[in-house]
Amino acid sequence: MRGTSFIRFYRWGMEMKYHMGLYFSGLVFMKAISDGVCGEFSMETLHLIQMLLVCMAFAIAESWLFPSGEEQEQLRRNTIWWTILAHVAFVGGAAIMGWFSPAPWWMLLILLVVFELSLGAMWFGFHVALKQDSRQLNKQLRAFQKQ
Amino acid sequence: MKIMMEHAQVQENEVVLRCPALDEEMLWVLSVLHSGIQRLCVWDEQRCTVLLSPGEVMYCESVEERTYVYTSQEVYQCALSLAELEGRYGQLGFFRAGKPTLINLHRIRTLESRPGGRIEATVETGEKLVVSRHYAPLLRERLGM
Repeated sequence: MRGTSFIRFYRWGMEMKYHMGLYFSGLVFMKAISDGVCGEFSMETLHLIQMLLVCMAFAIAESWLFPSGEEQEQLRRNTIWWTILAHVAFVGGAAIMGWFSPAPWWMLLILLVVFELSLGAMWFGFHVALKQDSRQLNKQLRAFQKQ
Repeated sequence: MKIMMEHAQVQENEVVLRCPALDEEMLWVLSVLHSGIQRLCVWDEQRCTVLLSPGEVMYCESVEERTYVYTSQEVYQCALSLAELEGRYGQLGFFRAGKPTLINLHRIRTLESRPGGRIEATVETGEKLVVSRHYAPLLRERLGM
């Protein structure tokens, strides 16, 4: 029983880290572009650690909002929470910790647009297309099991 | 193993197995004999044979040419291959989820669509099994999608 719980925890960790890595690479890419425009070609380690921790916190919250292997009943409500949290974590994090501070206003605007588009694509991919498909699969499964 | 056939004046066909102990070979013979009926003959770690109804089976797995049958409580070994189990119990909801896995669709708690065209099945015990990209369209078809 303890072994099963550990495997479940480990599996959760693997999935969470995958999402964390995805968000972190996105943030680092955006920072690299922003810094590059300002003629800066190195990054502060402290900023990288802050970004990693924020991405981890967001990925943990995301795994709580969209638990794997369970039917999603509150998809709309949780998606709204997910969007709010994403803005608080990434836009808030950037503003408070100054990840993109030397960038000009138009660069910040571009970054914000890219962020919104990436978030939209991520939301559509993971939380619309896949979740809707999962819902349909489960609906059909229940019908099959009732036969 | 010595195989002997005797013609005798008996009312019903009879199979008698003689052995000093129930070794793997004898368990296999027993299993094949029992599998002629609807119930699935399996054996546990103590080499005790058990007759399972197909509904009790959560999923089956093939590891190093051995077939393991998982129920909610126990893991058993079975003499039949996954292909044979699929052929025998396919109509009862046994579905091939991948080369080494056969899932009982009636014991799945949830299905989750995953990136890359895969489907993740969570069985009643909470274990997660992946339906590979190759078999996922077949599962959709089986479920009437």
